Amino acid sequence: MTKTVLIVEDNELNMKLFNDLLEANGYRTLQSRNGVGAVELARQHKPDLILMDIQLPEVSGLEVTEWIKQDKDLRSIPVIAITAFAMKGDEEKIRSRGCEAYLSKPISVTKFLETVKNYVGDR
Amino acid sequence: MFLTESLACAIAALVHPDKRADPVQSLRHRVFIGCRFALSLAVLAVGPFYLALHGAPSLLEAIAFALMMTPLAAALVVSRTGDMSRGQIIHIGGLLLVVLTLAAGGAAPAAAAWLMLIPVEAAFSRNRNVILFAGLSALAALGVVVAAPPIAISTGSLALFVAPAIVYTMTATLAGRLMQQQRHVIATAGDARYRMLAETIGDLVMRHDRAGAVVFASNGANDVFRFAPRDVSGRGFFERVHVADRPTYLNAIAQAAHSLETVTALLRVHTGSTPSAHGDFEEPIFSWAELRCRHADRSTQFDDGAMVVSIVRDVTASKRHEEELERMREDAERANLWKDRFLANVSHELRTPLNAIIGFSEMLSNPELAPADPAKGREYAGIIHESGQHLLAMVNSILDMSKIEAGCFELTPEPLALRPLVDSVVDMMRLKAEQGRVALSAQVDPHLGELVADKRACRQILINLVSNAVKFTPEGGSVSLLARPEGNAAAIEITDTGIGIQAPDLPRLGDAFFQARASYDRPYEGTGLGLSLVRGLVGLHGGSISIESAPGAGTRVCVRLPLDCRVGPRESQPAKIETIARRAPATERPGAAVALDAVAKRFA
Repeated sequence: MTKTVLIVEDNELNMKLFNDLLEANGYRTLQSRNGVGAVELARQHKPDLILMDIQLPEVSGLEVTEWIKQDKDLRSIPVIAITAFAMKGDEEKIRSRGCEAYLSKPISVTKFLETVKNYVGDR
Repeated sequence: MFLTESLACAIAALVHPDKRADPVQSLRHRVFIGCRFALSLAVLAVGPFYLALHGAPSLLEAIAFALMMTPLAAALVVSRTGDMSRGQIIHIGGLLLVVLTLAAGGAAPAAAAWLMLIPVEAAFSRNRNVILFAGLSALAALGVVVAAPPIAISTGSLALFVAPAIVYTMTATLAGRLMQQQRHVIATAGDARYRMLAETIGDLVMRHDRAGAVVFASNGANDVFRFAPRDVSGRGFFERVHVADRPTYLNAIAQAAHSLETVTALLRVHTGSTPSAHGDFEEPIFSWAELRCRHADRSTQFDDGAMVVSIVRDVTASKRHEEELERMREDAERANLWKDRFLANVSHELRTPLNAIIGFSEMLSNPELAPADPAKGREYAGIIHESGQHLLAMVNSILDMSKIEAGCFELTPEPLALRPLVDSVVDMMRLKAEQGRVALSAQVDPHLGELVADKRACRQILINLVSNAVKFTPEGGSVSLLARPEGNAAAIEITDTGIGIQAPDLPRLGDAFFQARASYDRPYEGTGLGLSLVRGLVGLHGGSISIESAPGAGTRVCVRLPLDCRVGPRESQPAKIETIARRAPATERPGAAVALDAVAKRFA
């Protein structure tokens, strides 16, 4: 069965990168450019994995992650933070808010695909 | 001469060690001991004459002789214990017994002579109890003398009994005179030493009475604060203390007067005046002074009644230095905070386009990941190019900013029409505005002629302001640009219906790398360089900026550029931003308020 990945990312070019990479590797993708839309899509489609940007308009990715982890229907979905906040201490702060994994931008494509595979298993 | 000196030395050696240091005390003890010795010697001296004249003494006479030696015991007590009052009481007690014995032995006139020694002793005492005791003893003894039996001994014997009393009185009188002289010498020497010390210290040394009035001021008054000692005496110093510091001053003096500790206080002292900016009144100058005061030790108490001795030092320079250090520390802390925030922002802003560049190029270069469709490959190359351009623009603005900060940004003034420039900027921003569903419009007053300005800088100013306005305006809002002539300047107004700016953030606008919200939760990308770059460029043109805003009420930025930037003063400093907090946010910009309201409801 095809695995579904929800991408939450406000930058168009990066959205395209993640989307094309995942599609080329046989995943089904869902896209949201803001946090509220992301939660709605997650409730609707129950994706197998969520890729979360942290700096988002209106509500930050950290808050969205907390909403997801507080929701008993959604909390089992792994959340991977993919963010350009890559200063010292950022990873710990982001993981402490409930993200299962952390990837810093710019990503390594192979590491990105490996991490995704780790969390959803083979497509 | 030799005899008296060695005698004086012997007597000085008998003074109790505790009393030797202070010259006045030591003198008193020497006089006391010396007089007692003289009296005892006189008594011993009359002994042989008495025996020759009178033969063996009666029992009472022998007792009287023995009692006449009690002063020696008093001298020894004073020498051993250093307690003058105790010695005096023993002495007076001895005299009393001598008087009683003589009176009982029928030598009433001799008893009367010895009785007179009691008040003489009291005259040398400082202790009230001793004086009282002497007075009462003398009265009691007088009673006994009056009631004494008739004279029972010869006139010659009587004279021998009286002689030591005369010798003692003479010695005591001489000693009293000597003491008076010595005391004056000591006091003058002490005062001279004190003055010399005070002047060497270089600070203002004062003595105060209990109420804080100055009874002595050293010449330091002149050296340190440029006023004469007489200017500070009495209430003079108090009058020169800053009104706000007067309670501190009086408190310090009172505290010092009632304790043994050194009390320190920081005061502002009026030291001069300078004409005010308009020259219509004199502005007082205050110096910072450190006051250290201490209770004047009882033994060294001055005859001017001073209770407190104080030293006042001018600490204006060190105080100023201290303030400067504190300010530098604050500046450094603030700069450090900005630096951290800037690094975090720049890191984030560089990594975002780099992610697309590195990600897509890795895809293209990896045979397993490269798209089969050549059109897709070209699209990816286009994205890499676009992200590279974005990165370049960002690097350029960081460079421009640091050039402006370093003061080496060169303007190239040329005649330019604002209209085509505005049109090209609006075209450039239109796509971004449409993506965010923000209506973008621009209007250039036809009466606005050509400007002489740096074209690249003007373009940068317009881009940064319009893109800021679009960025901070939620969906459904609008951004409008209006350029019009205003005196000999061009006023460019950018009005948006955006989220606005909190009043506390207004004064910090345009500080490099400042973005009103910090780190993770900031919803807007950007290095925080845009407005500070505008500020720098407008400053270089000699223009001005004003910003009017309130949260939810939108923002209006107005930049005024002189029609010819070569005329008039050119500032190397960034332009000052005049900020105005708007009132009544909800009614003025209904669109923005509704949009924000909607956002709030969605998250409620």
